[in-house]
Amino acid sequence: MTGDTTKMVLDYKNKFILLITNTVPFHIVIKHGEIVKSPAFSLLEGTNALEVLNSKLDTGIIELTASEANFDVTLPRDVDSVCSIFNEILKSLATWLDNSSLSITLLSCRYVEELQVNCTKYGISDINQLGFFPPKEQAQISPDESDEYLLVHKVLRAYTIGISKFVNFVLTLGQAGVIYNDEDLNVQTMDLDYCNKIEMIDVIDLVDEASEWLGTHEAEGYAVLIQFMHLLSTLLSIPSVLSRRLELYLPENSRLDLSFLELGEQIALDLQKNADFFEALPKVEGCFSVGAQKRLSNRSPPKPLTMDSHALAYSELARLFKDTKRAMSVVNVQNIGQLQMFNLFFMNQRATQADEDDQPTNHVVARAVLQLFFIRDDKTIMGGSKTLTDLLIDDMKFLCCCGAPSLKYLASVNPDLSLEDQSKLPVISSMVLELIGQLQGPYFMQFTTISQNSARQRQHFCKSILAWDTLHVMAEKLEIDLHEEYQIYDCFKSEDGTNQEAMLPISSWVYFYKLKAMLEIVLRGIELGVYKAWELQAAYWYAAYLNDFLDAHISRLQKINKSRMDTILSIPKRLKKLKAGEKKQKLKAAYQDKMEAEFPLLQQTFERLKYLQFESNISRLMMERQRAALSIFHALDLLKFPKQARASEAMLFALQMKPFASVGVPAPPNYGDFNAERSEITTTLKNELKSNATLIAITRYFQHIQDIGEKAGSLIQYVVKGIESGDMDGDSFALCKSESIQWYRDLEASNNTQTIVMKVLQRKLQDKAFVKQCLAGEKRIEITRKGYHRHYPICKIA
Amino acid sequence: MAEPIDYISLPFRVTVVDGRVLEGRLLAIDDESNLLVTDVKEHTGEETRDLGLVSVPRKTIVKLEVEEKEYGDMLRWKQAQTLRSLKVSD
Repeated sequence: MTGDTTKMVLDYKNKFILLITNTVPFHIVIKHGEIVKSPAFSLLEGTNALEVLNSKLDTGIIELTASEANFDVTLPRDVDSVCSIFNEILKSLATWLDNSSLSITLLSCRYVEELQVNCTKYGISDINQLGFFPPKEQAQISPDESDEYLLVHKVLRAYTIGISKFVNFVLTLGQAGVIYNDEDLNVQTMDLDYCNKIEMIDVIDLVDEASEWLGTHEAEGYAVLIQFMHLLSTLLSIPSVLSRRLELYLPENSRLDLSFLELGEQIALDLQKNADFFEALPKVEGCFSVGAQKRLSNRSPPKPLTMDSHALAYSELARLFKDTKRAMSVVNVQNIGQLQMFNLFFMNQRATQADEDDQPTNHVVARAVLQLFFIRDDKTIMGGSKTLTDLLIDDMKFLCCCGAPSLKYLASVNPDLSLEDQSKLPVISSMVLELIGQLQGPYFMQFTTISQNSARQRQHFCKSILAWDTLHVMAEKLEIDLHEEYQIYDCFKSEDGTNQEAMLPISSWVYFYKLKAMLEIVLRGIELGVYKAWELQAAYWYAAYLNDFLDAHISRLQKINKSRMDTILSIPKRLKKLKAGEKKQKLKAAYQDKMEAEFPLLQQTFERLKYLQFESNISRLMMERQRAALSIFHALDLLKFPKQARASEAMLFALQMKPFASVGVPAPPNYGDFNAERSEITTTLKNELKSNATLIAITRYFQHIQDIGEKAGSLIQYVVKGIESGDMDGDSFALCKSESIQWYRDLEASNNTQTIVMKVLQRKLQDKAFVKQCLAGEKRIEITRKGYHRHYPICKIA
Repeated sequence: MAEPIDYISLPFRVTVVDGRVLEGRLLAIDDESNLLVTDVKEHTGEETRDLGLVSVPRKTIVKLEVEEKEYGDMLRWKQAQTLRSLKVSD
């Protein structure tokens, strides 16, 4: 197409040159099969384009019924109609928050659409001008109008503004970067501003005023509308928590009034029970439609409206309040041990759904609120004086760095140090602080992980591996440098008091978190179904391998803990030997200081490590049990590598191990190691199954599985009793008692069911025909997750 | 003389068979003159809305216009380029 060959007509008014019309051919010359495009544009992006006049892609050709197209938002409505609209709007809100988009939920309501169009079009910041009329007419509404008129222009208006303002709040949560757009929350706004310029306080006043007006009426419908208004008020109270500034670990934080969250949950559950009432209400024709998709800015193809069922929508709303309350209970954390447990069990919370594959984490609003409430933009914790660095150091001290000499050099001034040490302070301080600064990255990521959905949680752990591994090396180097160059170190002592192996507390802390992250990746992979049935054996095998390292490391941490406590407890003996004088006084003061500042923390750590040891033992047994069961299935040829796979099993094994490939310690094992160990067990079993001999090895193996199950069962019960009575890990479970007990109950369910499954299988294996069927590939493995611990689903022969 | 690539990124106005007018920048064009236009604003009577990336099949196009100023700038730039290359070859 050129200026010469194309008929051009100058359109002076709009300054456009006419290139073609339907009578003039398009004279662009492009070779057959070629596409001329902007160099910056990838054709793949073109697949997202909306095609004009294609009914599946063009929202401009959506057809509306007359009542939908001409729906009048200014008309008066009776109380039943308004009740029905209120109910539908609230259900739409719940549906949007339950993984849907505004265009097919809330904006399908003509009232919400018109209000938002007015708000955005006129840039309204004065609430009095905002309504279903344009600003000037809205401001002239008289309070002397009929009840039907005021039900729309006073009550429904206040409700719609309130809901829009809450949407605005949730959108800010979504855009804050703590949760994932589209995955956790759809933040496509259709270019509307959702009362962004309207003050929250004005919205709350408007809602209260409408509630008061409703209170002057006695009919049943008005009482229901008041309930809706109260629910809305509780929703609008949620944003206020983000501006509260609290000091971490203070007991008085429990006075923070969160009763509105309980009220909100209760109202949602009450409304849920009124399904029959809402069902009987008249439907307002044309009020809800796909019209917004046709009229508003829209970058998506036409989509049908979605609406959760009455029961689901209200249970989702109740969950919003319940989970937000759970999130806000973080204010009651009294020490780092409690905070760790709170985070762990908040992250591990899953809502029970009918769909086995859909076990959502906490409500999206609760997850985002927790993240933004707990760590503020200025990196302070809950807006108080503590920062993320303080929290990191608390965490390090809690696990293994309490009393570590290197941490004495954190501040640029430390009067407790000797004059000689004071001179080294600036250099050493900068070395230690540099590492602490680096550690903040993955440590912060841990806090961001708790707000993610289950798939993203695993991804966050994957991302953290590289950082933890690098920092492990850096921490070790720092501690060796401090030892060799500045004689700052601590060592395990032998009985005669001589120094033995270095403790390396900082690197021990990093290593612990690295191992935990690695284990989480494998176990969460099992939860998410990342591993196919034939890959589960390798997954549990690797998890057990990591768990062995973790177990050994916990023993080492216990050794550090004991050594530190022994050092403090040995001071009185040293004091007795010293003669009165300055030296004795100094040692006495140091002893008192350590007994007050360090010893209680070391005792807490002692309890935590004891719990971790139990946890690790239970994990070891559960993994061993799963592996043993899978070995039998493997021996029965039920976990065969798929024939249609194009890659080898070794290659796919390496692919699953990819997140760990770069880790130095513990070194990732190779396929050969796994295969050798697997073959060692299964070959004997297989040979016996194939022969007609008595099942001696098999029987022994089943007995082994039963023994493991019994051991695991008694350990689980012990831990549950400990948590219930408050004897396990001090007060760490105080804020997550029910969640932690549920965690172990799920483990128990997996363990008990596996026992039954194995007993049944043992009996079945006596039947040679059954064995033959298995070996002939006529049977398959079935994995059941619902009702069991998500790391240990039940595998059985279908 | 303008080549097809020179039209890329210019602001276009496309009138489609149902009377809607789409304004946006041309992103790609194929050998059948189907267009891919980005940052599209759709005008229907008095109403305007954003649609983002839109593909416009040739068969739906009634009128295609290019914005005069940017089109002129492009032609002048092309002429200047041609003159410069002629001088270099002299």
